[in-house]
Amino acid sequence: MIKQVYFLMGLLFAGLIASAEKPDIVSVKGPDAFVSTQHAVGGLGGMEQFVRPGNTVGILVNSGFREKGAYVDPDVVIAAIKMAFEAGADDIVFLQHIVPEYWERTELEPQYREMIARTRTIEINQFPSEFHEDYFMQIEHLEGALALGEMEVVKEIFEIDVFINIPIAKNHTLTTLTNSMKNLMGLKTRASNVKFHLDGPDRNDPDYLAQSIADLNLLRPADLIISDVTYSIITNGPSGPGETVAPGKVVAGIDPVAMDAYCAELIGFFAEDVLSVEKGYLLGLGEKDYQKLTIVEVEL
Amino acid sequence: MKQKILFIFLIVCGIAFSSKGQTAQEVIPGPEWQEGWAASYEVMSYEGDDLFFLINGGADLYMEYGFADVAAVELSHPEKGNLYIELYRMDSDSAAFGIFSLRKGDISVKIYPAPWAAYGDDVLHVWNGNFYMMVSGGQMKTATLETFTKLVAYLADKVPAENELPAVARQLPDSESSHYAYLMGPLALNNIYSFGPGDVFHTREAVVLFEENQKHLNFYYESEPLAKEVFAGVRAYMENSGRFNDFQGDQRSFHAVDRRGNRLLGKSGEKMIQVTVEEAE
Repeated sequence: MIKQVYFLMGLLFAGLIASAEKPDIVSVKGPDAFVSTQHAVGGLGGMEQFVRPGNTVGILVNSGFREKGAYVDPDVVIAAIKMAFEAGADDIVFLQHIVPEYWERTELEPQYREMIARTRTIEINQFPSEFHEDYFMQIEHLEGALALGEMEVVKEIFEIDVFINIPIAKNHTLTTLTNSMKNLMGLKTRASNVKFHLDGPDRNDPDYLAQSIADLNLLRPADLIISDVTYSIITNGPSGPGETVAPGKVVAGIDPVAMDAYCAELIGFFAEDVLSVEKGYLLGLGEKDYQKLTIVEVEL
Repeated sequence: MKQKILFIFLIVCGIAFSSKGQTAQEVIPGPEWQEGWAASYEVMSYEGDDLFFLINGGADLYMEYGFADVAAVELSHPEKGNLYIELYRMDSDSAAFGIFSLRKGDISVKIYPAPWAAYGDDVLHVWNGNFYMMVSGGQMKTATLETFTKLVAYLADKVPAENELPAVARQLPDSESSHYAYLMGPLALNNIYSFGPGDVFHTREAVVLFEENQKHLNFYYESEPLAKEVFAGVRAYMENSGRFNDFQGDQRSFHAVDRRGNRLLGKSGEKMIQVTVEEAE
């Protein structure tokens, strides 16, 4: 069920959400990604639903590309940090390193410089990340995984209280879409990620890669997913440059499968072309038919 | 508005030796290539599967075309700024041309013997023999075009080549503004138009010509019977997959509309299949 709401005043939107069935996904279209992010999370009940005072919050951001449309708009991340601190987060750590230059891509940087400085980042986990026993741990096998074997993942994913996944919905040559589920590859060493491509029955086997991505999501489900669907590359992904679309939306939810299916359609892909959606559904990670969920679409 | 700059640099010189014997590391411009430049770090080089440690997503595409090795370096100049260079040695001239055609996108290029160069959005793309070079000039402060022209000349001097097009690509229009791509597998096709999971066209070699609101895809096969067999499979898939509407077809042609409203017109030819995708208004 998709409800469309045209937003005129903050109170109107808050009232609509409060009086309605709690949405599974909130999609906010607007000219300002910072504001859209606030409304998207607000539509799910606010950051307070996810972050409690004193919590340590781990955030995973797809920030490691240079082409606009290939990285998350920093305004989305700044809005998420602000909301998390306001909800009482004591410590915010970026689970994959964010280079300082990333923040320079937004005009909000001077205003929020001090707030950003209060966050931590796992500097060693940047492409092409290598194993270091102080920061990574080896996992022999994830229970329920059908393809994924031994891997090396960032330790802090198991130490944080709250996990917020912030991907961008965009093209990936081999998987068609990269968004919520695939973003978790940012938690692993490069050597572990390469296994996704080369350890299957065929080299660069899309089916094996999709199963591995779905399996990886058994590691730890995100408590909150915020997808940047403001401006995305739809060819030559994941790095671009390529053709782009500008849906102008920020989407929040907690179901990684539904988020991927829904966001795929927003940038013009067919959800069924994203093999990890089906694989994730079969693993019980979420709902592939997002039409069965309650989705609130808002235009600011 | 996106500014596109066109330039091409033609070097006429004798072929002293085959370029295929030189690795990317041996060819890539080092700090000595021009006075005043210094390398920010040692040249990085990767071969085979290790390409995954250079490219964060998309290495599989290079492998589909046929990848040998790559070298990468950042050069800095006190006045001019920084240049980032990646030089890929592919398995064949065709493979290098294919990557060049895909990576340059719709940036214009004139067709000369060698090298071919296209520059736009602060990125220089060069095809020279079995090498594809990408230079990012986003960190450049001044004289970008002049520096890029010298880089193209350097590559041409270092690796004399003739840039022989794949046979099926020789039909491409000889126009500097034509936008085309040469494909050597399903991943490249997926970058142009997705027919869904799998590889219903059994894509090994294809050429795509982009026109306003249209993409013309020509798939080539080793024999006419194979082309006809694949065409029959494509027709059956499109009729039954559920992702296309209004399917009509016979043994020689089909018509269908995808769920985005794009119209697809397919035609069976001798040793080839032609598909035109007309974008919805």
